[in-house]
Amino acid sequence: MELKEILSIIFISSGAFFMFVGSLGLIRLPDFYSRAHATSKVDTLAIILVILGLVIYEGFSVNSAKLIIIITFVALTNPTATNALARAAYKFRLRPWFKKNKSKKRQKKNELGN
Amino acid sequence: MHMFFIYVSVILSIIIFIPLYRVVAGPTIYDRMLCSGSIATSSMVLILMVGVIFDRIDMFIDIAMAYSCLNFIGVITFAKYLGTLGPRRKNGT
Amino acid sequence: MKRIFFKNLIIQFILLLGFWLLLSGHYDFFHISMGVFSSLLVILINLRLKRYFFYQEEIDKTEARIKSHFHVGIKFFRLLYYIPWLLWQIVIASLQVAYAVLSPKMPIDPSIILFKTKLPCMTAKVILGNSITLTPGTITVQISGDDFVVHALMDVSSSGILSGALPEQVAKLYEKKPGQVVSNIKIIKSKVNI
Repeated sequence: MELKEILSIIFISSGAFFMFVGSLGLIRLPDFYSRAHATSKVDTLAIILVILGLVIYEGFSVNSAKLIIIITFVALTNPTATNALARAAYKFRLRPWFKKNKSKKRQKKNELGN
Repeated sequence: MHMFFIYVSVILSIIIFIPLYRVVAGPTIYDRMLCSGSIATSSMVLILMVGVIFDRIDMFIDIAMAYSCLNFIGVITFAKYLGTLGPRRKNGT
Repeated sequence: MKRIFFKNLIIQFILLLGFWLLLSGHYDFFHISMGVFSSLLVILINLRLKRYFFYQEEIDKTEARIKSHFHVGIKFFRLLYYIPWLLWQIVIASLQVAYAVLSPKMPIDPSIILFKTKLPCMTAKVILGNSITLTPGTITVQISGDDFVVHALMDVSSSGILSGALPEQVAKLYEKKPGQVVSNIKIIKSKVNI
């Protein structure tokens, strides 16, 4: 095992872990806007990590340049696509989920205090 | 190293099935579109892994690039269409 | 109709030709001449698109620029500092979301923030929108004019919007000493106000 291979194994397995976290977040989080958090940030980081691992494994070649182009493309388009969907949902007035009990009590306390 | 890529691609192909639950049972159409986009990004990574396993990564990179382009254009088109629906009424969703 | 600058066309041609050379692995005369032909064809098709105005704001800005010869350009030197900072922010944001998802109690506290910005041009707003989505705790929901609508997942004070750190970084890409960038912050935490 060389250093190159160990580095690429670390990068690719952490990317796969973040991909798992993003998929789990899509199921566990309560409403659409919170799920958009999971898929935009975590998936972008997962793809960046996996492709960086592949770049390290390939070495300095034409394929690595193509892979870096894929990284920039995904890092630019993934937030844009999420923003487009969230904007459509906001225009439709899809209501976000809020924390129920504690925030109301706090607001009442603040009002009473003021 | 070869075995490692096979393991990772098996794990990824299991992970792809998790958001499929939201695509089937999502409460709104926006959830379904979001999760199908997530599936497409995961399967793009899977394509790259298959390319490394078969030692033909120069060919599979082009396929992955076209796949991510198609994913982006599909989600944007759907969002553009859903944005024309206008605000929700009181009774129906 | 918008004026087309010749310099922009040459830059676009060089970028397209570089992309062609990267994608095709062959570097003989025949393939390169095909690349030149196809990138010229793409520029010819997109010429009508470059003349089209997408926003009313752009029309005003063009008129102002013709009057005053003042050009608002991005600083590439500053960009070299901005991109690694953004990458580090992505790592922090993903770790935060991973903590929220994996812990069994799910310590999330969503809220919606409305605020107003003062940025020089349309490109700055696009950069700010994408950066808000990638930095910890917040995603952009809507941008209309100068007004931003942002959804925050965790506690609001942890995100960099209330302190104005993130919009200031974006404004520093264009000017040296930006003034007050964020104003009129409004936080919504109940269903009644929407």
